[in-house]
Amino acid sequence: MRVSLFATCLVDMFAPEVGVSAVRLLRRLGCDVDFPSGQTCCGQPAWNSGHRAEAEKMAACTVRAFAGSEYVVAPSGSCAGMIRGVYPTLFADEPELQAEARALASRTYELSEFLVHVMQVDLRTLGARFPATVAYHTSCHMTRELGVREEPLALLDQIEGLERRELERADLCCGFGGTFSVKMPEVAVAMADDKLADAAATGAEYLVGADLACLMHLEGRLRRLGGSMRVLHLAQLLDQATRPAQGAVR
Amino acid sequence: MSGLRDRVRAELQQTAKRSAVAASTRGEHLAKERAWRELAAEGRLQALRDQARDVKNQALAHHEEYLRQFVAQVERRGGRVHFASTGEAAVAQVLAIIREAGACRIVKAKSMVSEEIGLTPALEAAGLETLETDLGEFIVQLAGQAPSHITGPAIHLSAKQIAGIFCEKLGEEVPPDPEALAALARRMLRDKFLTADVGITGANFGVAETGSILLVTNEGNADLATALPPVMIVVMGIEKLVPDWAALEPLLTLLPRTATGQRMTVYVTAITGPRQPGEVDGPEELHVVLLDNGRSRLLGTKYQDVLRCLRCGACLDACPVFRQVGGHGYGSVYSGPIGATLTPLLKGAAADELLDLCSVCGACTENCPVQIPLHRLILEQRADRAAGRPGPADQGPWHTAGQAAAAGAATGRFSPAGGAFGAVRQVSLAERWLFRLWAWAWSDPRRYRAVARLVALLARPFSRDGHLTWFPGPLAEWGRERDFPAPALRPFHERWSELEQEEGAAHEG
Amino acid sequence: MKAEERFRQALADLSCQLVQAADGKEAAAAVLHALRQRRVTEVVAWAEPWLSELGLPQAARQAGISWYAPPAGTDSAEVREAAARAGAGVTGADWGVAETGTLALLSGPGRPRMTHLLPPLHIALLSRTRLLPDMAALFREMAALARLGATPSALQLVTGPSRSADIADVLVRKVHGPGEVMVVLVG
Repeated sequence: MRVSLFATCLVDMFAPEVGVSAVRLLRRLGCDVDFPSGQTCCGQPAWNSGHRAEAEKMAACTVRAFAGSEYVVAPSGSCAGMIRGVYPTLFADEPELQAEARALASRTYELSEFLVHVMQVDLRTLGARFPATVAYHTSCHMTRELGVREEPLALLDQIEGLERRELERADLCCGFGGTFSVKMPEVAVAMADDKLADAAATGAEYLVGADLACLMHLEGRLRRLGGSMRVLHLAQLLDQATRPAQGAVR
Repeated sequence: MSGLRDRVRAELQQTAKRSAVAASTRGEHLAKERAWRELAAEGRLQALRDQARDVKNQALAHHEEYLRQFVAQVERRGGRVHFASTGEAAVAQVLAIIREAGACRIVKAKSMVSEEIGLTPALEAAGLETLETDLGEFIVQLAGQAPSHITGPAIHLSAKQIAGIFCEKLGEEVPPDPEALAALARRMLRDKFLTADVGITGANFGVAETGSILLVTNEGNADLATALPPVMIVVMGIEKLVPDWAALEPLLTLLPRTATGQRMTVYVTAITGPRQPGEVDGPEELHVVLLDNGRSRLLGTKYQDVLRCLRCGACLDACPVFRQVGGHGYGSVYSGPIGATLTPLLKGAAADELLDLCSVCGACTENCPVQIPLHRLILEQRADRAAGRPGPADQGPWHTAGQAAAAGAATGRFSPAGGAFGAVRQVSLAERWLFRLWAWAWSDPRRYRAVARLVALLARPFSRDGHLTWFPGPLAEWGRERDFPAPALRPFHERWSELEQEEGAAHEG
Repeated sequence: MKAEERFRQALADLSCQLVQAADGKEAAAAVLHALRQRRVTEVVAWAEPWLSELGLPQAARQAGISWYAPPAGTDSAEVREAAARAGAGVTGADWGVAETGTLALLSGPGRPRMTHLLPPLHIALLSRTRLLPDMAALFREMAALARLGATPSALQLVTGPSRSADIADVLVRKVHGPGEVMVVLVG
């Protein structure tokens, strides 16, 4: 299976190790992974702020970058959501580009949904192991736009030694919200504080999510508040859990 | 924007109030979830939401026709209908009705539309005793505060605070016990119901088929306000019309379950015309004031869906922003997601800042019984704002000439509303240029990579432990209370070649 | 049987009492018992012939309870005063809804609305033949009335006692309407 990685701008610039984990994980599971070099950003921050012309420019670049891809996999629910949910509505004046955008949307997946639905992995067969307590934060775009709710949980539950702790009030947004996080920062921080309190209440050692934006916002706040919880992207956890003949994963 | 930020900051500092709001909205949301799960288990939830959406859409699509029918039916039963293009006109009409009736004692049931037009303050200013009779409204009226939630006006107050308000304003010492407090309100208001000249209500629904006004409540105050005073005045937004009694079924099945988790509210009352000959109670005079106030401008536009709103409050209860800032944080009559969506549509660019009080999480849309795509309508308005396109409220009295003609032909009674012609809506110059630059840089991979390298180099001296704690410009807001990862000196795209080699090595090995 | 059980359960969920009466005589006895139990001394009631045929007005008076059933056209102030004083309001019910425990009352001459709204106790007599399975059935009845042009000036649906959670989210009863609703299912 040939997979093109859409690293996403946040991963690319601020957490490349997440992209590295995603690549290693996919290869370990048997995929050929490539990285189309024309990729930049899906354009969602501009779209959500109302700057649609600007978002379309970035989207056009993204569509062209993945023109030759068979499967496009992104370690981000919100970016995959942007491509699947918004791209098909763009480029009304450019029918060719619109057709390409729609084709791209039909081939684009968030990482966990790709693993569960397309590759149909069972991590147990790989002896996946991650002995720790983990609280999973489900991001709004992933659940409400993409409808991907159970897939990350299913993957985590296939990992030996991993004890998943449920977050109370899991339906509440963490407060990132794109430019909301800088336009209404006090509210965004208040929302992060509630989410972090819920996470701390589970006693979990790790807070894990599939959307880097949420994790950056939560970890950024956690660092100011102080706390021992570690924040990890799902791709990193799955990579670490499936590494062959590994030592301690702390 | 600073008005909104200041107000929000002030609300965030009120920890007791925040706790009360958060607990109340969470409780209501969970009650709604239980009620919806029950419907889902019966296999009816989505069908009901679809039917509810469809009957409201039907009413909106054929608005002039149903309006005509409603008016004719009300008048056939001996009621009178008055048209108000604006809030001021509605207030003037209510005052005129009251003066003509020689009335001076008014009891009011809860009505969002009456808050929207500032009716109670206007009546009080005219020297008319106007008592809110809904328990929560009664409390905030005494306290001189604005209601903080569509269905629970006083949820931000504790029992102790309410007891204090009763003591101060009513001169009555009552323990801070909800039952005792409610009993006091009942006692104080009972006499007012019995001696009132006028009862003013809103309307949850207006049924075109029979000219009926539906009131959906729990306390009984709307029923007393419509049974006892000789004059009844209903102030109703024109979007509250539904075609017929059959249409009420999905709406009345969903509304109570969604608003409070009840299968049915205690009182659902349909008033059709004044009392019949031989009846000893019910209004002798029934007046319906139909309010436009910017609603008809939304018909036929991409924003029409917002007119389906039942004012159930479910979006408020689900909203993660509302739970932090409460109704008062919005500074407008309608708060929460519906407030953020509707207020700029009705009032124009002056209310645009509310569009930013949203993290676009989509919980509102998910919880709306009539499936209004609330967060998408906020995004749509943000797009209009960024493009400098005026919204419906700022385009003049009529969105299309066809609308004006149709409304005029239907009733001959709507007069053009005063709109804020050509009010400019825009984002700041800085924001506009920031996004233009961003898009220019990031729509080409080489420019993108150059920017990534530049940013990483610029940030390097400020980075501590791989994180930044301070930012210039617009991002400064992030850095006040949060860290941010420092841009990687080797972004992922620079590490790709070694990842490829890794793969190659793996194949060889 | 099934609808009645559902009705009883729905009323129980609302903390409402349901008494089953095989006939008019039992119904009257049930009403009287409830009034005595709650030490009601004044009753306001619908002026419907079937209510007086149950013998209730006389039985009540014999028990020292005043029974006031104002006929159509009575002076409204007089009715108001009586209803405001009464310890109980006794009405019929045009329909009941098993699904929700709802009573549907149509207004009309001899049926003042304040009868079931002002007194702290509302007793409704509902004929078994008028018990509908669900709200959908009730709306069909209302739609039928509408088609006949027979919509009453007030259709009042009552589902349990008056309540509010406006004060600190604590549920209290008897806010403006009655604090207790009792249903006698007859037949």
